[in-house]
Amino acid sequence: MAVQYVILLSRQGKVRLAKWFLTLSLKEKSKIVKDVSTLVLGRRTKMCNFLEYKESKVVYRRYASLFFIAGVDSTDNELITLEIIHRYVEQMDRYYGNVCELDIIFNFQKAYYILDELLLAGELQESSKRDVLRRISQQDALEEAEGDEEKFSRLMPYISQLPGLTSYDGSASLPASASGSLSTSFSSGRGRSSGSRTASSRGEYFG
Amino acid sequence: MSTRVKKTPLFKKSLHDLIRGIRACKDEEATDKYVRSAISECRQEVLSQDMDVKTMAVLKLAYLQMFGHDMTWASFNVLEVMSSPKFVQKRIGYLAAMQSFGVDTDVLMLATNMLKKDLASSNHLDVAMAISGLSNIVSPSLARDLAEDLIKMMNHSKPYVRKKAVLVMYKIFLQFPEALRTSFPRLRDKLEDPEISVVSATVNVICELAKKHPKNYLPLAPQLFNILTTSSNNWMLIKIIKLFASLAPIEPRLKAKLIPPITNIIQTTTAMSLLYECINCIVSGGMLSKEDEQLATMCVGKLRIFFEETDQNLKFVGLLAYNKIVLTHPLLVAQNADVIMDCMDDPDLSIRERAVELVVYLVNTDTLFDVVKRLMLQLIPQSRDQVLPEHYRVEVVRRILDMCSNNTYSNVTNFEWYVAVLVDLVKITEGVKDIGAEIGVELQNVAVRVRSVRDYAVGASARMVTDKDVMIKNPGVLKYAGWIAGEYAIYLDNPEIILNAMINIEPQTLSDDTEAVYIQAIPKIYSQYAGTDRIPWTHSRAQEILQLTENIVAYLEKYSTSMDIEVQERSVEFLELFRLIALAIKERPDDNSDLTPPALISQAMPSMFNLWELNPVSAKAQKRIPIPEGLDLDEEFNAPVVYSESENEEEALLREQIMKQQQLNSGKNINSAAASTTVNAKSNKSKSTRDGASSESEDEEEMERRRQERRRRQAEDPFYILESDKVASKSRKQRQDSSSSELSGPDDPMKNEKLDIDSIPIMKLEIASIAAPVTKKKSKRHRTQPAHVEIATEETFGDENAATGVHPDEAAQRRSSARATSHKKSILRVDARGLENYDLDSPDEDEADRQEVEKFKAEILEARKKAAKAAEEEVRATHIVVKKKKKKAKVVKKIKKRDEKNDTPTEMPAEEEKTDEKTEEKAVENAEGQET
Repeated sequence: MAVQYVILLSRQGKVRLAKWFLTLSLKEKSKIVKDVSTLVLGRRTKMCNFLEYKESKVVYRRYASLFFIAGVDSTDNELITLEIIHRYVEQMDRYYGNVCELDIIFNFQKAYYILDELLLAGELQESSKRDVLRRISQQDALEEAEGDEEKFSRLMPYISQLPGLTSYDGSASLPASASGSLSTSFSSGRGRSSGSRTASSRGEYFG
Repeated sequence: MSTRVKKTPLFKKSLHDLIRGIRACKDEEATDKYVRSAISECRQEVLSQDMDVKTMAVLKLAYLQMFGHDMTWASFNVLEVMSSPKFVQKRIGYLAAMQSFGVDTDVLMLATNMLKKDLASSNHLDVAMAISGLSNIVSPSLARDLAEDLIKMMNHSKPYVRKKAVLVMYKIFLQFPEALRTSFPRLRDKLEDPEISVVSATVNVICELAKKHPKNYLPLAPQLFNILTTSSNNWMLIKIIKLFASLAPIEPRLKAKLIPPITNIIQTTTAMSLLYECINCIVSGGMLSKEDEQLATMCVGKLRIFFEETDQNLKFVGLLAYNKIVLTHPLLVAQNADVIMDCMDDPDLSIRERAVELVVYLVNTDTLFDVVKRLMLQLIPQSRDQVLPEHYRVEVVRRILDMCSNNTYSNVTNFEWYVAVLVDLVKITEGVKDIGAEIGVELQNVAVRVRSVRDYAVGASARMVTDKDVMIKNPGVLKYAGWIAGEYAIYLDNPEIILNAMINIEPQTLSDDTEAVYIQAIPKIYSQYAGTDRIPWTHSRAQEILQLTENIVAYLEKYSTSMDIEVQERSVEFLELFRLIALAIKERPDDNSDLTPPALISQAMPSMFNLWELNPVSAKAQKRIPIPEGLDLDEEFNAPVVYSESENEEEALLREQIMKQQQLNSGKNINSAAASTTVNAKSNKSKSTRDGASSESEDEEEMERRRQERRRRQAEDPFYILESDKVASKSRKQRQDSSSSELSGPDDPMKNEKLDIDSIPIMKLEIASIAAPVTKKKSKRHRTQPAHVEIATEETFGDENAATGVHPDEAAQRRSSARATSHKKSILRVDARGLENYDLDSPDEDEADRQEVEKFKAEILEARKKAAKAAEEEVRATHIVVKKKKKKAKVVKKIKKRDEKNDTPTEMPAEEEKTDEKTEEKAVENAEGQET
């Protein structure tokens, strides 16, 4: 099994998404989330993105105020796991359009849907970027066609009313309540190679 | 849009309201309260007739589940939402199911037909969703029931469905390994699918499968090799290379075939992840043997690039790779020592740890001082808030010990320095658990092996024993320090100070095994101190020693009631000895006529400890001693103990007395009569057995045997003085004959003075005539060792090559394995036992299958009969109920319950026509068709 779990964690330690590719009890899940959160939040920016937890590896990367965490087997390739994480962020960025933490909070199910198209049973199922989003939009279109989009559209007015949410690169101010400092761009991560990650179609370990 | 919002205020909170509400809560208490009320609302809402309300409630619950709130109670409702015909609801239902269902979720057995229906849907999005959902919730029975459908899906017209079906098969195999046999041909075909994503998915699945049981997938090697050489998709290449790393160890010929393309990739690719995977494959695929200089040089050289950038991640994986290569090519890795050493002071502890691990293999006599100094400096906290985490400090200490002890101390040139390092480590690691013992072992090792530094080590140990700080903060080391001080007491400057320090320790301050060592060390130091003939045995000296002896007696008395068997036994043994010594001192005429100490102190005591010098012995030496001819280890040394007559007699007498006492005490006649009869009966019985025994003709023999036995027992008893030495030696000889391997314990010191060494049974173990002689290689000098320092290697038996004994690497391994086992079994490990033992080449188990199917059929038949019967009754009942719409929900539940009872998978109960008899029949038919 390649990826065992994906957790999105806010800088304050709040879970924004938790996807499990193996079946565990609620108690075991909570334990792992707690342990891994402590480990990841304790890391400083200059440190590498890999950790060892029990017999597995934890690969994480911070994008703006969110930590993207993936648990993998100890034999798995750490660098490629970072690529998968990056791919996921890219896909969300495109889907939501300059994604921010609030998008994920209020439309958490969409974040799961995207992840389900990207990974299946913990394996990367689609290496084509275009394809993943095409599938999601197909599904969304089907929902719309059913004329049953009201539940989600009901959320949209609220979200679009919030100021400054469309931009994510710090040019617009964000409400403090939304999330502390989302000022750094999602794509600039650790302040290095700014913008290149979203701009280039390939990740940094990927040639 | 807004009109719609107003139109349907069916649920109290939308998901959006819920999230906002939670975010508005100020503290944890308020959040908790809010969430609890939200959950209780959901409890109402999931029961609603309105699917929208139900769906929203399930979505809210799925959101809360993320934060650890249980939603398993709503599993049935999730299932209802999953079976909704509307895609938007179905999607949410599947999401909730993936988040909350486990293998043991009981409603899963109701899901079979629904999943079958979705898998057969004409809309490929439905199919895809069912597959995604299944990948998370598949249970063994679902896997068995749906395997066929999914295998069909692998040939679906849409690649989108095909790739998902292929991927989900891995999950099916985990739960139901039999499916591997039926689907394998199709899986193989998928490697040649026109769509790259399907091929990639297949490679992923085979890669995971091959990790568990590589042999099954060797036949696929040509196809996989073809992909390796033609594909340019890095994602897939990484998986293919990983897959070959699993296959290569079991098929050595693959190596020659694989190395050219992999070398090609290594030299051309710009993707670091792919480069790293290639090197990893070469290393962990076992392709890097000692002869492959060129290949190793290339790998090591390429890895150096990882360190030249500032990327911490590359450094980390680079170190991981070096750590693997260093096992076969330490010299090549050592060429990059500069960059590795730099990582030792990296701000990132993960990188440091890996670097330190690696440095152990790279140090040599020139660099050892410097490296150890750097590491020691790390251990000293710079400031209060900069204390490194304990696990890292422990790690560093272990590495220091590893690199110094490596290869029987070949890197250490100055052992005074090493002992000083150890002493410093004890100080630095105060308060760190367990590590004290590991340092202690090293100190002991050095003291035993390196004679030249022994007095230095003894001095250091003595200081630790008397140091109150060490006792409180790092007591683990004392077990070894105490042993050294005792064993090499001859080097002690002030033995009386050590003695006093030891005997002033109250029980329970130290651990039991340390106490046991101390108790053993005290007599050794005592014999050294009191037995010396340099100090004349004057009156004052006698008084002083007497005082000391009595203190020791008092000390041992305290420990003689210890709960620990080692402590208790040792203290009781020595207690008697010291009492005798005290007696001997007192009995000496007090006229200064004899200025030598009593023989018990000056001769008997040292002979107990100093007869042989203790040398390091290989841990394996014991095993190598061949069993002497004629020795049957299964034979009993002694016949089972027979209680002697006298004991029996005594016992009987005692019993009689007690009975009599009772008789006297109780005034009641009936009781006393009864009691006396039992006594009589008992004594009669014992008498009769006695008579029977004595009437036997082998009476004489028996007597002789017992006599000998008694003598033997007396001979072992140090406090029993034998009538004549002749008898003693005779019995001793007999004892040797009967049990040659019996070891001599600390014998009576009085007797030891005249002891004939040859009669010590241990000498019988010199089986020189049978086996190779003991190879004593005391102070063999190590080749790389500069002059002057002699390190004793371990003694062993037989094979010269193995004589180097426990390699420090082994010791390091033991340390690390001890560390590994301390971890609990990880819950993150996927249970793949079924796949690990699943061999595709093993004979087909069709026969067994067929039988099972037959059995299953019979069961189904019976279940069907039952179901039909129950349905009849149900129909009668429902005719009345159906009219009342309100109660419909109840009926649905009833059906669900009955279905569970019958164990027959059926249609989703949520459907309207559920109560109809026809559907019922159809459900049974469905189930039947599916099982057969």
